[in-house]
Amino acid sequence: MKFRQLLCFSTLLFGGANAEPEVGGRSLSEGIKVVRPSVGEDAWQKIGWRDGLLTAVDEAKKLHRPVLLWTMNGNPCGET
Amino acid sequence: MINHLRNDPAKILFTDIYGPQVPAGQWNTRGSKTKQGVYCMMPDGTYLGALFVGVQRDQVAKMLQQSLETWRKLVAEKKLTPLAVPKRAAFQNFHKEEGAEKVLIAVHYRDLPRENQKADQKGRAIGKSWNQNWLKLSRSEITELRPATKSWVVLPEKTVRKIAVTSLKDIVYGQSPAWKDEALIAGKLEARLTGKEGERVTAEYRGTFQLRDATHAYNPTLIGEATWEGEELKNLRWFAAGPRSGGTQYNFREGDPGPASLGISFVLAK
Repeated sequence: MKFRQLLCFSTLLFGGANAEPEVGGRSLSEGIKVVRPSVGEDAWQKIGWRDGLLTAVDEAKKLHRPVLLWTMNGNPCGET
Repeated sequence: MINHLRNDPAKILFTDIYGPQVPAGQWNTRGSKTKQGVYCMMPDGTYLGALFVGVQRDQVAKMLQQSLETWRKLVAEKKLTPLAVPKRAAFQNFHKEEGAEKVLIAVHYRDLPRENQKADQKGRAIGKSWNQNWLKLSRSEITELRPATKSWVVLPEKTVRKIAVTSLKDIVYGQSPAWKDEALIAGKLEARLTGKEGERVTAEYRGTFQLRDATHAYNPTLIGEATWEGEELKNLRWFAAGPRSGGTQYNFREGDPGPASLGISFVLAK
């Protein structure tokens, strides 16, 4: 009994010392993975947006193409 | 702020040429001046489609499809010869421009899975929505995050406060202002060296925070790591999670008062 208790204590001690930190049951990698956008969720960021309406308009005139304008209060690149 | 745009050609195209063609329901004249939304037009301002405060993907997709059909009709009518749109790199100017003087950390926000609850009172699937912000730190603030010893050290209060009030907030569904200073009831971020090999240094982080004001609260715990080469931060990964409750004027938490777990990730932008 004493040896078994010692063995369990040692496992906890050394296992705890090397255990990866967690928050809410998630490791750092797991937490980041669940929060950050997955493949496909951030597809809009892969688009070659132009950074101004007139920049897009000038290009659209040459290409005979339409313009999509997305406007919002703040920075479209964050906190929409 | 609007006055300096009065004669701006882009503004004139949008409000004076395109705007009058937009159906009343999609051109905001309801008292506020905002025109947030998704708009489609020919380069001369001819109306194709519009969705004021368009945020629902199905509605936006439908509007885009209808705009595309209208454009195709115009192509036939006007005998246009559309050319291929040259491929361009993804729009990364923001963090590349800002990053010259500051270190940018991409911050993402998402509700964490809840036991026995798949949707909130508004029917929104828990964890489906996410949002993004940027944490901008000066070179000196970044230096303060680098520990010097293998023992835990408490990082400088001023920089930790900045990180907490600007980034540890609930913006999963919308916007929240930075917390006022007095809302940071408690906050501590610690760091320690975990390895050193030549110029390369690795560090570990841990922190706890309590933020609360009259309308909402957030109490996260943070863990993380970072890597330095000399004085340069090469990598940073932090994860914070904890219960949030209440809401702000524009973060659309009606129907989801909490408490419920909110996750926030911090990763060095590259």
